[in-house]
Amino acid sequence: MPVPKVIHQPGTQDAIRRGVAALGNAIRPTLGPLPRRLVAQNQAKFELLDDGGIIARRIIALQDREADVGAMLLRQVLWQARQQVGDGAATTAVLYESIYNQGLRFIAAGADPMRLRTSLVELLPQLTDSLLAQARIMTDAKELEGIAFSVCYDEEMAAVLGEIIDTVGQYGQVDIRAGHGRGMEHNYVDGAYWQGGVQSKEMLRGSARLVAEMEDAAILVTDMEIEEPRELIPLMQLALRSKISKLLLIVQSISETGKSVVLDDRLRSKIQTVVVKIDSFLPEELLQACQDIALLTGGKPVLAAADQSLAEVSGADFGHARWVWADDKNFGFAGGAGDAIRVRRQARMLRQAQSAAADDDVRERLLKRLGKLNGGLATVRVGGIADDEIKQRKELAERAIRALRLALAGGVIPGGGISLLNCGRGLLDTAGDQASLEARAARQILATALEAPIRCLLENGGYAAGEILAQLDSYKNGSGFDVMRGEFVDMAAAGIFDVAQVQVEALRRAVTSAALALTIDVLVLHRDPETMTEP
Amino acid sequence: MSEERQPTIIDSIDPIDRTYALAEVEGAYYVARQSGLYRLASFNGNGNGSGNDRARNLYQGWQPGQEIPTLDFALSPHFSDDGLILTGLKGGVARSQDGGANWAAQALRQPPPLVTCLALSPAFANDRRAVAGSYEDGMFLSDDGGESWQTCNFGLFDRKIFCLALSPQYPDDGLVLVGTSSGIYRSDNGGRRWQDLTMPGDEAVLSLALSPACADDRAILAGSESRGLLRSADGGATWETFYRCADAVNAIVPLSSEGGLAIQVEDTVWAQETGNRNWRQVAAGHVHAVAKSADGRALLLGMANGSVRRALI
Repeated sequence: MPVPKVIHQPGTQDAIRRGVAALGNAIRPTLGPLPRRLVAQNQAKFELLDDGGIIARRIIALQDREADVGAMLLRQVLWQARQQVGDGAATTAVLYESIYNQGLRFIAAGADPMRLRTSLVELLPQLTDSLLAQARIMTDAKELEGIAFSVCYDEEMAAVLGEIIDTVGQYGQVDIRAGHGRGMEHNYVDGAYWQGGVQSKEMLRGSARLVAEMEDAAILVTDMEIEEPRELIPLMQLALRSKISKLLLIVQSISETGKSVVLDDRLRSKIQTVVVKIDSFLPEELLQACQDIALLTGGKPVLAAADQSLAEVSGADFGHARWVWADDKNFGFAGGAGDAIRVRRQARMLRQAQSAAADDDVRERLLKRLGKLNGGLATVRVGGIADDEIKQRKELAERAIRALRLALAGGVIPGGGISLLNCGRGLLDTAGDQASLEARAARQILATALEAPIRCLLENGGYAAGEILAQLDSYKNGSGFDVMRGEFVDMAAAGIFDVAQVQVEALRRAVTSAALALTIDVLVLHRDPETMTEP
Repeated sequence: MSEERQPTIIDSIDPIDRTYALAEVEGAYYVARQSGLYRLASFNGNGNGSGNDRARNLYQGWQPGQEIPTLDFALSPHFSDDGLILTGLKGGVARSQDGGANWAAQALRQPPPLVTCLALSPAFANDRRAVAGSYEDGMFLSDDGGESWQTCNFGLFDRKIFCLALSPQYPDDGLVLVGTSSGIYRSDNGGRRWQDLTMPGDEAVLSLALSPACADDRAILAGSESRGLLRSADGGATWETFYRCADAVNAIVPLSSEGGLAIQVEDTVWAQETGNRNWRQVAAGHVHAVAKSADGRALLLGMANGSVRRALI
């Protein structure tokens, strides 16, 4: 049983420094286009890790309880950065460690931790403005391919994902699935689709591909669980009276006796009915799916949640679509008859809500809904030699897609650590003008820290960072070092970019969190500390 | 033929039906109509001759005796070399590679949509890019000169397309605009992904034109259903009324790179000369379609009575 303990200075700073170094050393090799990989043991299995955020999350606790505090502080920052923007954890770790370690030296030299923190944070707007001033909007698929490559370092994947995001856009739905071959395959689907398949194989009868397809079909959507045939009969009578010959009925579930109504041969000779269910884990999601389908098709959802029943349905409640399909897993449609102005307004509202949402899950859910309204989506099948490789490539593809969406939203900056380096230029010129030790120290700390990512990236590529950085000064603005080709290049022309929002978030989190960590004076270690899998 | 300000009759075509689009290429007129695509073959610039002799429905060798409504057509920028014509039909695009002698229909999808507008890339010889808009199923792109088509509706919330306009610098900037039943959508990647532009009233846009110098001035003109002619000087971010009227602006024809302009309001054509804010009536009533002549000195008018007229501007 661990003993409770209170640690004071200088033990506190030393403990945090050791913990930050332990985690930082694990993540640092993954930065850049020539990364080293880390293998994590999980019971009898070994897992290949190459993403700083994932590595941070896998490290639950260090043996050294005192150092563990520092590691967990950094872990939380990295995981939050990953949740927020999906990438940039390694850059954040490198910045954080540099700021913290340098800060300790200035504190040892007499700087006040609280004043130092204030001075560091005060410089943040100037630095983020400087980063954003280097940003530019992405213009074509080639540039998007460059961004995807900066995340996945996989040329085939980068080319496919660059094209896909250039096509579907920032809010487009991209479904990433495990493939069967070794490479990547992708296709585009017109319209929208939801998970949840046909409720009877009989409804697929006559289709060679086991897909029920209907043209110019009516659609009725409800969140009801249909148990009794008598619930359906008034609806089917109404459909007959409304001269509907093809009907897609979307329900939460339907009983066998319910299915027998729509599969009755006499009725089927007049109405081809396909019944599908929506797979949804949350009642709120189910409700939103019903509303979105009704909006797209110009119908009205029949909601049990609003105490409605199928007996109350009128002809105007049916939506319509030009083309409807369903298989055993999904259903979808294209060319819904919904009011385009209402769809557009809803999309704008969802976009605003998505960009304002602080919670990652909420943002993801809103993005999914936006994808359904987008008019089409892309499906990617990621292949590989073994299951582990496919799983790893899928994760990479998801991260790259996220980075690409951010790139479309907020633009890109020259990559390879050059933008952060540029941010730091000029900080030392003004350091001497500062009256306080802390203000001078903050400028020196940040100037050095902003050089740390490019140094790390070069060293990971096997280059002597000092030599390269010394030569870089003689090249024009916008130049950088292409680690893959081993030469100085114009970064924009070479297509080497970073996502502006990712770098801003990395800088912001590293500066504010490391500055806060510098002010920690006392550590209290509990007897029975709680182990958290979620940082 | 002496050209006067009063429109002169060039030709009449039987049967008398609606004209949707027309163009002049190498001394011949091509007219898309309810009954087919016509070519006025022997026009020699003097306006003489019998209309029935000279006007020929180009589909007659392909679908004899049938009426094939043709809402729009596009001729290759290198028509004299490749003879390529694409026409927009119900359900697909018809394609001829010999100036209209032989045709092949390319179905777009099922159920068949009505193709309302068509355009070819200015660099068609290299990129083979064709763009088509439909009344029900949104936009289609072809990268093989119209042989095969893919739907491209990403970001397009309204699939009822009335008109489209390609940037003169399309091969470089990939700019395409489409007018729909609820406003304008813009694509900056050649027509694959769309972004809705905010316009006053969210109403139908029936005609569109990009300034010949749109790469520099970013000017867009949009003819609306009941708000007149709107102009944007910033690529579609903001709009101002350029010609106020409650009637539908069915066509916009830029006359010069300096700003001369003709518009078709309902069935009347108005023109505005470069540097002059006043509008002059070119044709009063009965106009179904309007286009600029090959030499740029006249407007071609497709009239309700089946005739094609030429009016000096």
